[in-house]
Amino acid sequence: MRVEDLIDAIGAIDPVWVEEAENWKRAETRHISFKTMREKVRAGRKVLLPLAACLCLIVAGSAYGLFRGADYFSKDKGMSGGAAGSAADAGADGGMEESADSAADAGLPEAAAGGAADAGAPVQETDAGAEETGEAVGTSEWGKETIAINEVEELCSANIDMETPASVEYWLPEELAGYYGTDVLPEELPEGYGLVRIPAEGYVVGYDKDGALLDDHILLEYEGEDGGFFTVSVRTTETGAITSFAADDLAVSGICGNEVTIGHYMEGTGETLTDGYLAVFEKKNVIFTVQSHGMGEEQFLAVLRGLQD
Amino acid sequence: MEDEKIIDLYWERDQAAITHTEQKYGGYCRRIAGNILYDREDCEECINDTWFRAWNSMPEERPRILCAFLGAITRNLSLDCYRRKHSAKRGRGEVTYIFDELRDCAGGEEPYHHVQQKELAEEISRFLSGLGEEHRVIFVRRYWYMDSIGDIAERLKISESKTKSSLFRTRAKLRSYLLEEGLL
Repeated sequence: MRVEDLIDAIGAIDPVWVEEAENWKRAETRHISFKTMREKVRAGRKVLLPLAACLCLIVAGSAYGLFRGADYFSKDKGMSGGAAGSAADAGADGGMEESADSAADAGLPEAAAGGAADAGAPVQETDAGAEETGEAVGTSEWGKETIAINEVEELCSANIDMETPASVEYWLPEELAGYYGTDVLPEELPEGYGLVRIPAEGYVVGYDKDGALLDDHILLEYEGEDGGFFTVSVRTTETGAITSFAADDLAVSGICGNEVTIGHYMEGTGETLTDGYLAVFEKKNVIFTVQSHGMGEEQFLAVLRGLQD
Repeated sequence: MEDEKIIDLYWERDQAAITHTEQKYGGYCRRIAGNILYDREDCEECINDTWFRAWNSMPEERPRILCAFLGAITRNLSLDCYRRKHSAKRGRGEVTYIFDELRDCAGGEEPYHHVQQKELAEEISRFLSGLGEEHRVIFVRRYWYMDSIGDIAERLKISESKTKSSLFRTRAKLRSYLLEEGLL
């Protein structure tokens, strides 16, 4: 087929598409509703963030106070002193409010910093952080793992533009580990699940005219016989459609020694049609984003385990 | 005047049909011809030929969508004119780039017969129906209307790089689709 044939054939496409392209306008209502949603969340955050910060201070202050209090009672009274001592005294003596006040009054930046750090802290501190942020709804143990599933109300989607690649390479699924330098296909799949919509020539990696990498963001799609599906998006470049968590203070899970942020969202979050799970992690400088629909928690975790080394 | 009434005038062989068509779709068809030809005189010639051909096509044909029907005539006439004038050398404007962009999707130098072209057009229509709305509009604006990247970006209120990225991905998908369907 010559280019002229293709251009002529395009000229004979269904007139419906020609008319659509002439009259198409971006859906204003969708934009407005999205903006409204964002504003609501922002407005909510204006109130919730200071409250969360206060709560962190209170919890950190009282925890520190209780710890120091126990220490105080096990040792000579005279051993605790200064600013920490007053916090400890307040915590041991009574109300949480008092201890928070004392901690704040005494100017304990380390207590506040500790509380804030806990929220985004890795594995060992995850549970405490999760409770403080109130976002993790459950933790469980799997061997040496610590699993924290954050209940999230908002996801972010960004479509990051790139220039048109001057050249491309095609990689078949079984070749992808060679390209990325790490396995990107789950070692084991939930029963009945398989990789679908594999591009005929392979997944595309684009380069500019000087041969520099422009885009290696690929999307592996898996479907199950039960109607569930999940996607594994893999990239080393910040290009294409990227889904991420809106909050940056989520609890972090530890899976096979790797840090993984996992969230569960309800139907209708962003533009999702069902509830689902989203996980983001990095492995050997490759960023993985795994998203599921219609899958159970255990199935989803099994996929995440299968993606770790 | 509504499209149905204009078409009725054609069917009644009333020459006012051409006046109303010129009033309603003159600008639309001139834009299509302009994207391809970049020459005012050539454009005007194609527009006049469009009205003439529309007049001759009806009443045998009753177009489902008048703007697309007239646009397709203008596009074909303009491309014929472009080929006549630029058979030996590269032309100006978007068409040169569009030919280059689509070369990978076409994949060869063997000419297609008329029947194959009809089948190809149907397959492309089917392929387009599977695309997201925005990607489809970008594709049609580029390869049917032959709009420049800048014009598409402005019309859709998106960046030029997003437009290029969408076109690149859609062309790759089209190539895969045509390969799967055995048309390449």
